[in-house]
Amino acid sequence: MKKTVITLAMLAFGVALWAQDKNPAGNASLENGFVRIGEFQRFSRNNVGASAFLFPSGDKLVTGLHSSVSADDFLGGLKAVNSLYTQDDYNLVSYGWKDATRGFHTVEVGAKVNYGLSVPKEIFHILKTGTAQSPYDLSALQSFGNLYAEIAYGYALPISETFSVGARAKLLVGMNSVGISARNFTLTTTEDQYRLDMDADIDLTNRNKKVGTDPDGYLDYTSFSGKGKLGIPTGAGLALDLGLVWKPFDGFTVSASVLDLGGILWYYGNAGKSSGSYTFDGLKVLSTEEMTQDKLVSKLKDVGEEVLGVIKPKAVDKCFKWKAVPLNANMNVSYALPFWQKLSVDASCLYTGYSFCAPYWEARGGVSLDFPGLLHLGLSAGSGAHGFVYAFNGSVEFLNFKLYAAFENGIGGVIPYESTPLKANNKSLCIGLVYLIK
Amino acid sequence: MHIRHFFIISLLTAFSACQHSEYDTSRGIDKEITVFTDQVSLPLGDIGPLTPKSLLGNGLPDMIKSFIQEDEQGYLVCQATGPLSSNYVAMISMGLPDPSSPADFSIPDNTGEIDANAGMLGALGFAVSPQIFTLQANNPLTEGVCVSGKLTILGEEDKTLATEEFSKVPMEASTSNEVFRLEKTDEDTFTKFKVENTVLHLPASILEKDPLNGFGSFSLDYQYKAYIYLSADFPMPLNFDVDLNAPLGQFKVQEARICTEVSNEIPLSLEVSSVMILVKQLDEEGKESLVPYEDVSVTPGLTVASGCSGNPVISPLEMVIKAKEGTTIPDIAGLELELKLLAPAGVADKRINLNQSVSFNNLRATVSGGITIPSL
Repeated sequence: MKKTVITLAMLAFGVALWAQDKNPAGNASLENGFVRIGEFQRFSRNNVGASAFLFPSGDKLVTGLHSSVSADDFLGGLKAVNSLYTQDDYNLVSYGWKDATRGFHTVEVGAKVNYGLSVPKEIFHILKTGTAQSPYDLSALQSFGNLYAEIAYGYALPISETFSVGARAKLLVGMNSVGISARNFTLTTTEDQYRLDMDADIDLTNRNKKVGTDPDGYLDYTSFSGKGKLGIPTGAGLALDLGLVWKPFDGFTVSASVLDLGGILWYYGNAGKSSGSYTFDGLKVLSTEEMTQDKLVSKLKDVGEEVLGVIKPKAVDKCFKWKAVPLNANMNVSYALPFWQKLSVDASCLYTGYSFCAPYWEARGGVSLDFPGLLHLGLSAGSGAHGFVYAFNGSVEFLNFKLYAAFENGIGGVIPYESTPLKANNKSLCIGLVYLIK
Repeated sequence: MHIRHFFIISLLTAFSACQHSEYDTSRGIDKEITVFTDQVSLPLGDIGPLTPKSLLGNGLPDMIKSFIQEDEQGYLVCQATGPLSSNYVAMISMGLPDPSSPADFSIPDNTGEIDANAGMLGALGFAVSPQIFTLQANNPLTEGVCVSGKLTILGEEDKTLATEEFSKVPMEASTSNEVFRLEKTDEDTFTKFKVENTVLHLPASILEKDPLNGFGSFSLDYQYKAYIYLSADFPMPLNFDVDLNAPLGQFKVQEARICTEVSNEIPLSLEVSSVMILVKQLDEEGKESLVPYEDVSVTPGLTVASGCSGNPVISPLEMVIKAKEGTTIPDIAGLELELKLLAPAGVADKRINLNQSVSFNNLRATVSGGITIPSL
């Protein structure tokens, strides 16, 4: 029973190096082929956690905007740009085989979805303290979501006994993409005047289903024409993975890779642009006849309409835009201890660059136990862009099957009964099953 | 370390104490928020131009109209008119020694009181200036004639204010003519007049020159018009109650500052000497009444400087509504205003006109200490 519990725990928490290491050169050392039956991996990279917005007060929780929370306590816990980012990777099937010339081929089919939201601190600053520190640059406010499929062919080749290289070419098939981003979004507030300057794009793909427009040319999301077909591609692109594995001496391994070097040319059939300035210096020329509730409400509605005239996106010509996919750079160093080579000490670093939010990085050190053909266990910890991180990884082999699972997290805990992290957090979960061809 | 211990410790490290009970959302989240805790400023706009006429709705109330009128340009005036004499052409012609020759015709002297109530205004601090007394004469003939005479204006206690003679003032044919005009800016109010030695210098054969064959008449009328202004501070404060329904209590506002620049053409200085906030209160019988609320102060002594037509004077005003330490502004049911009307200072034209305007420009509000919203 105890063995079962431990085994399940190991499977639940850990990032199996074998699975995590997407280094295309890593397969060069495999003696036989494999069929990956499926793999799911999720990343949540948030540079703020729930504790930046929720505060215990007595027997209750209050928000950061509650009067019992000081401006320093609330705003001090926020970043200049507060980002929430989630990425789900689905590897539907992979097949790998070794050819007669020692090269290792892989074919993979998968899908990726990522979505996120960035909110500048200024918005909370205005809400919490007021408008005394104008102007406010809100152009970091953006949101996005992308769904695309990957069809990849990889090739790994051992150059020598100690050095292998690999590459993977990926055809990226864009399914859907939405993005709201601003080149300029500035709010200037003085006693006499509020001024809003905006220059923002909203990009929405969907080749067959067209968002309608109202008579003034604004996008009208309540009216559509055509039938949306989810399966129709709305973008195409290429990406390249490059890697190397170097074993300069017995027990020492250096592995480095650059993954997802490329992007997708999206076709945004429903593009819009919010552009213009609006200045509000109060309701003008209020005569005695106009000082009735109805007329004041009417004037306020007019103001609202004018503001919306700036904020609401106007339809623009459909367009193509190139957007890079998240770029990963990894480096792992592992050293199997000479007195017991099943035990290794590891060091790894990771950098992920995004075109839509702040980059993520981390560096970790750890130990791992490797019983080839049976199981692999690992533990690592380190520091990253969002603070301390730790990870468990494990895999177990039974007959020709290899089941692996992974868990990586930061510290700070979660909201009870929920998975919402309290602190800035990199959280990832991975689980997969491989059939090893022996 | 045994491998089993290694993993147990690892798991405990990872997951024990990860659940922070103080963040248990099932206990509920207090959704009350207080925004803009330092201060927030908001431009409110411009109110106006407001004119006394627009504020009064349909012009002067009937009660006031009996002694103060609005002239065709909107000025507040006291005025009176009255006939002095009327002589038919036929009657004049009959009295002439030789109607076929030019002749002078004397009109009997006239004395009268100016019934314009201008003197009554003094008790309220108002005075009249300028005062204009005119003589209007109607010439029924198809040929011009001339008129001569002497006018004396008397004030209180029959004090002579002016004596003017006019000689051979031409009167155009077949129309009413202003034959004499006296305009004075003295402080003394006209109360009586005397028109003496009035002589019509007639042409020959006036009967033939009367289209009405003698039924036309030479008439002489007076017109008195006096422009009203505030010469001294209005003797008593004016109290106004303004009904409001401003449920501000829930927002827990501590201090609000309202600023504006008042552009005033009205030649009156207005001092808001006191503003009292009224709140609803239930007495023992459950009857609702409005009572002053002492825990909120409003800046007193706001003064709007006087201007005049075409030359508005701008007065920056700042009103601070502040709750006492530890309290907030309550639900406001009304305002009790005490206003003082002060005599204009440094103004060339003091005449009050119902079309003179007052505008509240660049009205803006600043709230300090936060605005609480009970629940999102």
